[in-house]
Amino acid sequence: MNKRWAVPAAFAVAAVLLFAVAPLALSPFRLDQLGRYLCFAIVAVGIGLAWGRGGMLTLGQGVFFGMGAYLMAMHLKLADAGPGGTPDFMALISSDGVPWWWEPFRSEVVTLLAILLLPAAVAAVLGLATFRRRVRGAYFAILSQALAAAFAILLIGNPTGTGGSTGLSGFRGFFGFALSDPANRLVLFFTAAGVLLLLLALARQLMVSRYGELLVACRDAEERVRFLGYDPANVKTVAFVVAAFTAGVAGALFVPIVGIVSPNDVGIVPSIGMLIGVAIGGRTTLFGPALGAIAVAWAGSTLSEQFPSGWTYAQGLLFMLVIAFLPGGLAALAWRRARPAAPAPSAQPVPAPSGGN
Amino acid sequence: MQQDYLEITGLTVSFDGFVAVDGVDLSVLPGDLRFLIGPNGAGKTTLIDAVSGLVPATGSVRYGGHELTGRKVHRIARLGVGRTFQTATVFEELTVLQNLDIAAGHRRGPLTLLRRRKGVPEEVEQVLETIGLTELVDAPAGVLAHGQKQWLEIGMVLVQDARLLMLDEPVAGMSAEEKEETGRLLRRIGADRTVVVVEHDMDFMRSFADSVTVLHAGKVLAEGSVGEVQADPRVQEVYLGPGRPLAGRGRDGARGGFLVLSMTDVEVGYGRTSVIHGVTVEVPADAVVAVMGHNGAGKTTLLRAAVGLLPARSGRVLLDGEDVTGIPPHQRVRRGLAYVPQGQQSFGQLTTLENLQVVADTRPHGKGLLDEALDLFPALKDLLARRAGLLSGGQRQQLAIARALITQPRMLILDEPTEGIQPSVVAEIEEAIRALARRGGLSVLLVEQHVGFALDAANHYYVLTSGRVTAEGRGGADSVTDVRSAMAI
Repeated sequence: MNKRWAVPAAFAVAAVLLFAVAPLALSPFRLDQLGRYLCFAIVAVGIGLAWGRGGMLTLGQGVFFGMGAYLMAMHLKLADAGPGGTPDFMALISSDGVPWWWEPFRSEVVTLLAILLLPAAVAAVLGLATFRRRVRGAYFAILSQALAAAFAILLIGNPTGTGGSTGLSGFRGFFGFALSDPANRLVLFFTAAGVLLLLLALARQLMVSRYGELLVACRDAEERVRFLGYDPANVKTVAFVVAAFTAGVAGALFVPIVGIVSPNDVGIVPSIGMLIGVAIGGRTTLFGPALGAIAVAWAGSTLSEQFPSGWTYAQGLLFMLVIAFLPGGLAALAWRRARPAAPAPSAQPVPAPSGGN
Repeated sequence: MQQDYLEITGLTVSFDGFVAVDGVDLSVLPGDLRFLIGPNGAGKTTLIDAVSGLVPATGSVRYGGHELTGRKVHRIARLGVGRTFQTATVFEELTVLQNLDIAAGHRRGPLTLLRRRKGVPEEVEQVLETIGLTELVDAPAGVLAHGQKQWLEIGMVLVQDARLLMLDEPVAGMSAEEKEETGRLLRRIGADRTVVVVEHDMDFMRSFADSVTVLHAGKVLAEGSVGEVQADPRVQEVYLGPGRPLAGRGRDGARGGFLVLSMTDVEVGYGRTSVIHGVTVEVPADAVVAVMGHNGAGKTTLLRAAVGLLPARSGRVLLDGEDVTGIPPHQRVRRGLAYVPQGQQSFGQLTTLENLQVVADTRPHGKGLLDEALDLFPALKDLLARRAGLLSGGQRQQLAIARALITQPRMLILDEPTEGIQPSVVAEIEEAIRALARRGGLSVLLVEQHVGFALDAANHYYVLTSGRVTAEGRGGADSVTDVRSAMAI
């Protein structure tokens, strides 16, 4: 009974905290910050699925996050410039006007569809291409990381199209609403919170479904799955696509909440940053990744307010400690405390393959 | 039904210029329980790998009217070809039910996949019954005993609705009753399916095979009924070894009373459950001690505690009279302990020689030790340049023991050194163990399923039942009845 209601209860608690407690208890500035953490939590939900359940160490989620973010930023810049207008930064550095590939994103519908579909489509192509060739493990991680680096370089190399290394900023409106109005900012926060809960529910459904079991099977013995008549490439691609989708949505929400997106938000370092929270929270669990991401982002802001350069070191240290001593993340600790004698098997490093007896 | 037979013609598989399967022709009809036997390295597993699409091959494999060569593994599986692996491969973190449910489901559409499973599917229920795991339906597959994992694997192939089943050493490491059970299971499922079984266990083959194909050096050496194949002089020559009786040679008694390893009242377990309850095992100097027992009796767990891979919850472990209970494995190794785990681990990408040199280079007189180890296992001398990953199971086992010996241990611990290994290599390993014991300065603790071998090699034996010592005594062929009756409980 207890177990059956645990997850719905957790969702209810999260909803109360996000929709009632947070707006009352936090100042508008802190609420904006929490909104930003929620964006990272949304990315983390996808990483938890792909890495925790699917075993794909996605070191390049910044690419999909960035796609969502830049798509949204392009639309907001165009909307700010008015019908047929040229965004301010473009007018400053060149007189060529708006590039052809910006034009479709004047439309709200096209932009929203692109945010929902483009990162997922790119992930589908990439996923099938790599997993079909049986690229996995460290090779997949390196590949995804290289992609993040390439994406950041591409953005910096096209200042007229993407704002270069300063990125895109100074947004005034959001689908017709002024971003300076506190009421609109509250709605924006609620949107992020709602999207997070919705995607958590999606992840939950995937985890408990037959597909979720199949994904774990692929993680643990991919070859065996193949001999049962499945193509593991398809199974893994679905999880990778879902992870890219969540990252894209998170990026799109990040832009109006934070007010700027630049290559610094999408390259290798931020991509790894997205992973740390997942590792610390517990990558195989449902809520662990999101909670870990929020905690790490919060700790990052708080600590860097006081020790500007110290946080990077603390973050790295924390990551190493968790990987070395708590591979299941903090969730494993909570689990162990709840049931002292039944540790999750994945949380125990096994020094050598155990024999049959 | 008429088309449901396996026909292999001119199948050839080569790696790095080494031809593992060399122009094999083979046809198997449904209802014919075919055993594939042959010495280690004959290419039996490679043949199965080629049919199931794991390794590229030339020639032709036809099943049910389809050509299988050149197809992808999962497409071959969808044509009704199922296989199991030498070391049971199940999804350890998933439950028995989840394992079977996944196996049953490759035809499911996306909508079914995205929904949660409700209840136990009918075909899964039936197979659970067939393989006798109904009570363990919600247990994680990782905690199953070795034999149960093998059954689960067979069950997975059955729910997959495979019409051609290829089983790689399904009874390796099983007790006599489990083997009997498995044999009957194979008979039942083989009645209307095409079943190919790779096996080393001759008794098992004699009891259950309808027909036998013998492979040697990648080629078909003989084919026919059990009787025909056994009577074939060429088969006796390559497979059983030239007339070397396994039992009945004299034994050396243990010299001196000094204990090299002693485990007193040791209790060991995983998580909350204890597997070993207050066991005392003693290994005197220059003695060979065997621990026997069924799967799940706790034999490997006991060894892991001796080596330090698992902590003893209570009791003491003494090595050369010194208390090592809380000392980590690598420090025990420095004190003269060597451990060869089950499954012949080696560095697959390194050659045989490199595997040995990696260890020898760390020793002052490494070269001499290496030569000494090779003298004990002359078969390895011809394989020095071959990558360890391409060695057969028996060769890898010899390599693993040879490598352990280079560390000059005073205490050698072997976990099932003869599992899945052909009789003539078992005899070689036994000979090496005896030579070592005669030479002095080395004690051996070994865990074995093969009672004849263990008693023949050992000065003293222990029988372990459910984590307790239920019998012990002197080694030698005379004790076989005592051990068998102790294990029958």
